[in-house]
Amino acid sequence: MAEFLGRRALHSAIAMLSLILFVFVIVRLSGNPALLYLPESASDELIREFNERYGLNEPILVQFGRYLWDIAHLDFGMSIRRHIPAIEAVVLAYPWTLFLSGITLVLSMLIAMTFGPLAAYRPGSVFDRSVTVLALFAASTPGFWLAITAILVFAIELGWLPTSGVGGPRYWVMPVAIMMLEITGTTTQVVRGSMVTSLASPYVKAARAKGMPERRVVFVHALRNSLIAAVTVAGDQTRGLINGAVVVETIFGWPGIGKLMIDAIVQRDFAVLQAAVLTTAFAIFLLNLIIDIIYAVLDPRIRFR
Amino acid sequence: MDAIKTWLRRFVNGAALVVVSFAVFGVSAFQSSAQESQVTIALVVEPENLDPCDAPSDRVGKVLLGNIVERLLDRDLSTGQLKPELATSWELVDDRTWRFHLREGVEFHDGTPFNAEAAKYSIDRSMNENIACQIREKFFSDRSLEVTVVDDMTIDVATDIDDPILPLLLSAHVMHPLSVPLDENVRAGGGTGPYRFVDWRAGREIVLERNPDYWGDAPDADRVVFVWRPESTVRTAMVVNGEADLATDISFQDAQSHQEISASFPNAETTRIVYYARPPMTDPRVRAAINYAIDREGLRGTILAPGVEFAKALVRPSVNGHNPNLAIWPYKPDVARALIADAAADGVAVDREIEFIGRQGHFPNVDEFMEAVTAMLNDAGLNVRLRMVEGPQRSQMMRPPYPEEPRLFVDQHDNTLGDAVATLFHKGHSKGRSSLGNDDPYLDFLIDYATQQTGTERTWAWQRAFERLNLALVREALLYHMVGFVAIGPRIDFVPTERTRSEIRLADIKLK
Repeated sequence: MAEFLGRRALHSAIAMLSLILFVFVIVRLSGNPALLYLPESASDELIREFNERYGLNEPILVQFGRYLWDIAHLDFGMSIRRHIPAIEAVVLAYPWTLFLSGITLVLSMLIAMTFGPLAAYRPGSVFDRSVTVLALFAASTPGFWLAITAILVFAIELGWLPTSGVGGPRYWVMPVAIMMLEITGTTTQVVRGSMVTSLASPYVKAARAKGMPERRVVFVHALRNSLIAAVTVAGDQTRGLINGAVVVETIFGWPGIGKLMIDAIVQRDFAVLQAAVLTTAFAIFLLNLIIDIIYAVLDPRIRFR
Repeated sequence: MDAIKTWLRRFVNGAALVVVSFAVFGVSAFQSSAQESQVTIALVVEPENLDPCDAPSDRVGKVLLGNIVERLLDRDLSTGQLKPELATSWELVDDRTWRFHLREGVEFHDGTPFNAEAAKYSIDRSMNENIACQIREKFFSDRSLEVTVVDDMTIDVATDIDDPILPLLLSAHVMHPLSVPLDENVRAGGGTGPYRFVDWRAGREIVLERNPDYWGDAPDADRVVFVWRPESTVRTAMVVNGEADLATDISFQDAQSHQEISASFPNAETTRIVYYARPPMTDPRVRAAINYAIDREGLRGTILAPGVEFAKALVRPSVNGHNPNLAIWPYKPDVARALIADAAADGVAVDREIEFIGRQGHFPNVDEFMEAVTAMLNDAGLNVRLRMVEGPQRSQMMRPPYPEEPRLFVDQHDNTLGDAVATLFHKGHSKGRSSLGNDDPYLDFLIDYATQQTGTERTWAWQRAFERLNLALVREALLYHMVGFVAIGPRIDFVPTERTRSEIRLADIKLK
C-alpha cells in the first residue's frame, strides 16, 4: 500500500506541477494587472513601477522559478488587491465550499442510493419511469437559471427562504438544493443502471434461491456491487462540485473558493488565483486517493497496484 | 511549520465559524430589518481592501469615502465649488504654495487628534512611491507635493509646477491617523468620518458603526452592514425581501420590474466612440458619417435606459468646462451614406475593415449596444467588425504604440475631479495617454492655456477646447451621459446623486 501511495503521490505531483505551470502562464497571458489597477492615463513609468513592485517585470521563467521556490517554502505570495497573504484568503474561503460540497454530496448519495435501487427493482414500472424522468430533469437543468428562479419563487413570492448570504440553516437550503440537482440526477441514473445489471446477475438469483430476504438481496448484495460505479461517478461529480460552487457561490453570495477564484480572475489577482488552484488540485489529489482506497474496500478483487 | 500551524488554525477557525453559523438556528433571514437602526447595503462586489490609498476605486470608495475617511475639502455637486471638510479655509501663499487651515477639535477613530502632523502624514503616504496608492496614481502620477507643517493646525502644500487648481486636486487626498503604516498597504485603516470600521468577515460582510465622537452632525443609522451579491436580480430581491435597505448598480431591467423601489441617477460616466488616427478615420467626412449614422434616440429606452442623456461633451454639465452650446449630432443615415460614398469616390479606403472594440461587461446591455451600432455603421457603408475583449486587453489596445490597422473603441469616462483638466489633457492633448495618436496643435494650445487659468477664463478656455475637439476635429462620436439605478427599501430615505457610483454617503441615509 505504501508503494501504491508513493506512486500515486509522484504521479499527482507531476500533474500538479504541470497545472501550476499552466495556470501561471495562462493568467499572465490574460493581461497585465497594472492595466486593470492603474488609471487609463497611467504613464509608462507608473506601469513599470507597478510591475517592479509586484515582480511582474522579470522574464516569466524567472518569475516562475521564484514562485516555485516560494511555494516550496509555503509562501504563496501577497494578494495585490487585498493586501493580505494569498493563502489567507484561500484558507478563509475553503471551509464554506467544503461544507457546502460535503452536505451536497452526502444528501445526493443518500437519495441516489435510495431511489436508484428502488427504480431498478421493477424496470419499466411507473415508479422507475418517474425516477428516470426526474433524474434526467435534475441532471440537465442549468444551475444558473434555476438558482435565480428559486430566489424569485422561494424568497420573493413565497417568502420562505432568504434570497442569499450565509447564516442559519435556512440560508443553506437553496444553495445545497441547486448544487444537489445535477449530482443527484446523474448518480441516481448510474446506480439504477448498475443495479438493473446486478439484479439480473447469477449471484442475486442464487441469493434469492437460498431464501434470503428481498431487502437484503437488493440493498446488501446487489447494491454493494453497484457501488463501484456510483463511487466512480460520485468522485467525478465531487470534482464537478467546484464548478457548481462557482455558479452557486456567485449567485448566492457564498464566501467560498469558487467565488474567490472568480474574483481573482476578474481582478487579475495572480497570487490568490494560483493559491486557490493549487490547493484545489491538492484536494482533488486527496479525493482521488480516497476513491482508490474505497474501491479496494468495496471490491476485494481490486488491489493496490 | 509555523506557517502550516497558522493556516490550520485559520482553517479550523473558519470551519468552526461555518458550523456555528449553520447550527445557530433562528438566525433570521431578515436580520437586517429586525434591528431598527441598522442599515444593510448590497454592493456588487466585495471591496478588495479599505486602505485609504485606494479611496478613488469605486469599490473601495463606496464604503470608505465620507464614511470612514474624510477629505480636506469636498466639492459641492450643485455649484461645482469646493467646500470645507477637514480644512476650514485655504489660500494661495505664492504661485506654487497653498495654505490650509485645519478643523479643530477633530479626532481619529483611534482617539488620536487630527492635526497638521496627521494631515502631512496622510498626504505623504498617498504620494509614497513604495506603496500602491490610487490617489497618487490617478491624480498625481507625474507630480510631487511638498507638505510643510506651519503650526499645529496649519499646513502648506507646495507643488513642483504652477497649478491654479491644486485645492481641487487635493480634495482627492483623504486623512487617516499615524497608525496607518507609511510604507505598507493595509487591509483597513481608520479615519475621522461619521462611521468607524468594526469588522470585516471575509467574503461575507463589512460592519461599520456610528462614531460617537464625530465632529459633525450625527448620522441616523447606528450600524451599517455592507454585503455583496454580483447578480443584480439578487440585490434587487434582497431589497424587495427586506434583507437589504439599499442595493447599488441595479440593472435597467430590474429597475423596470420594480419601479416602486428603484431610483435612477446620473452615474457620472459619459459614453463615446473614439478611434485611432488611421485611414479611413483620418478623413473628416468619415468621422462625420460615424456621428450621423448612430441613432442615439433609437438606442435610448430600448437597449439603454430611458434616462440616459445625450452628451454634448465628454464631461457632465456639473464639471467645469462643460460646453452647453454644443449641438447633438442628429440621426441622418442618408447623409452618412452620402458622405461615405463621397469619400470613397475620392479614393478614401472606406472598405478597409475596421475593428470595433468593446469591453465585456462594460455597462448593462453592452453586447446588444455594440451589435446595434455595428449594424448602423455598416449600413452607412463602412466595413466594421465587432470584437469584444476584456478590460486589460482593451486598455493595452488604447495605449501607444498604435498599430496601422484602424480601430474604433467604445469608451466611457467619468470626471470625478470636477474640472475638465482631468479629461482633456489625457484624452485630447497630443501628449495625453489616451489621445489614440490624434494630434492637433491648436487643441494642444487651448488645453495648455486652460490649464494655467482660473475662474471664468479657465471655463471659457475649456469650452473652446471642447468646441475644437467635437465640432472642428470631430474626434469622437459623443453618445450619452449614462444613468445608474439603485433599489431603495421602505425603511430609509436616500436620494442618489452622480456621486453614488463611487461613494455612498451614509450620513445621507435617513431612517423613516
